[in-house]
Amino acid sequence: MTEILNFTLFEKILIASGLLFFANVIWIASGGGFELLYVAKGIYLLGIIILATKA
Amino acid sequence: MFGFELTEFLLFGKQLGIALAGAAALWGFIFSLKDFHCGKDKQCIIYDWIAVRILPLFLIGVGIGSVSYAGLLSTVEAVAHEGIAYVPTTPEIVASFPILTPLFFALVALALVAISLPNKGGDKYANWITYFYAIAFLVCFAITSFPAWRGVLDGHQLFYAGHGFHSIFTVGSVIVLDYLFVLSKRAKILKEHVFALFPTISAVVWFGLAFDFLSALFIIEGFEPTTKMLFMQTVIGILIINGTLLSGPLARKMMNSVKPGGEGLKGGWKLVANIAGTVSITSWMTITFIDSFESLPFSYAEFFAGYLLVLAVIFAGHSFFEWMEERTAPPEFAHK
Repeated sequence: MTEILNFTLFEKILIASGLLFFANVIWIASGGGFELLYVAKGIYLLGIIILATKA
Repeated sequence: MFGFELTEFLLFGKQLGIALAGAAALWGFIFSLKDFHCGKDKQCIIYDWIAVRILPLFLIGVGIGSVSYAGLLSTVEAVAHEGIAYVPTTPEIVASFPILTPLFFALVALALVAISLPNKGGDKYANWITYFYAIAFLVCFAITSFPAWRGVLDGHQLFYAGHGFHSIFTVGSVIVLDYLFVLSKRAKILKEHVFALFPTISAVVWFGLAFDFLSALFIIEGFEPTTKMLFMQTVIGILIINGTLLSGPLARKMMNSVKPGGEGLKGGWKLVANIAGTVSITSWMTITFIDSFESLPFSYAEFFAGYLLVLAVIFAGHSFFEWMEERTAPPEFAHK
C-alpha cells in the first residue's frame, strides 16, 4: 500500500498546488487577499508545463 | 427556492449535457481512430466495440443539453438579474441564441442519424462513427465556447469561451472515464484496452483545468471572497490532490494489474480506486453545479455537508453499477 505515495515530480507539484488551494481558503477566510490563489494556480500551471514537455 | 433559479438549472443542464456529449464524441473518436480501417484484427474489434459503446453516453448528453436549451429559449427572457463581474448577464446569454440554435439543430440531427443507421455492430458503422464523432465534437466545442455573447471579442468573451469549453475536457471526460472504468469490469481484455488510455485521458483533464485557470486571467479583478468561492476553492484542492492519486499511483497499479502475469487489484486497492473515482466525479460535478448558481445562501458547513451527501450517494450508485457490470456476460471477443 506504500506504493500509493510513489509520486513523480509532476505529481508532487500538483499535490503542492492542491494543498495551496486549502491554505488559500484559510488565508482568505481570515481576512487575507488572493495572493495564495495566484501562487496555487501558478504552481499548477508549472506542473502542466512539465507534463507537456515530457509528453 | 434556496437560491436556485429555474434558468440557472437550465444553464447547468445545457453545460453538463453538452460537456458530456462533447467528451463522449472526443473519446469515441479517439477509440475509433485507433482501429481506423485496420480490418478484422481482434485489437480493432475491441476498439470498435468500445467506441460504439460510448454512443449512449453521447445521446444522454445531447438529450440533457438540448432539453435544457429548449427550456432556456422559453424562460430566459423572463429573468432579469444583474450579473456580478464575471457571470454572463441575461442579455449576453440571449445574444448567444442566434449562434447556438443552428448548432443545437445540427447536433440533434447528427444524433438522430447515429440512432437511425442499421447494423451498429458492423464494420461499416464502426468506420462511419469516426467521422461522426469528429464532427459532433466540433459542434459541442462550438456550443460550449459560446455560453454568452458580448458582441465583441474581448478578454471577457475569451473568459466565457475558456470557462465554457474546458468542461468537455474536465467534467465530461471524467464522466466518460468513469463510464469506461465501470464498463471494463465485464472482461480483463477490456480492462487492458481501457486502462491503457487512462494516462492520456488524465492528461487531457489536467490540461482542461489549466485552460480554465488561464481563462480566469482575463477577469482577474472579478474574484469576490464569498462563501461559495471559498467552498469551490476547497473542492478544487480536493480534486487536484485526489486526481493526482488517481491518475498517478492508482492508475499505474491498475495498469500493472492487467498486464500478463498481473494479479489483478486486491481488496484494499480496489476500495481506494473506487473511492478516488467517486471523489473525482463528485468534485467535478459539484463545481460545475455550484458555478451555475449565483446566489446560494448556504454556509460553508452546509455546502460541505451537501458535498459529502452527494459523495455517499454517488459511491453507492457507482458500487451498484460495478456489481452489475461484473455480472454482465463479457462481449464475444472476450472469450478465450
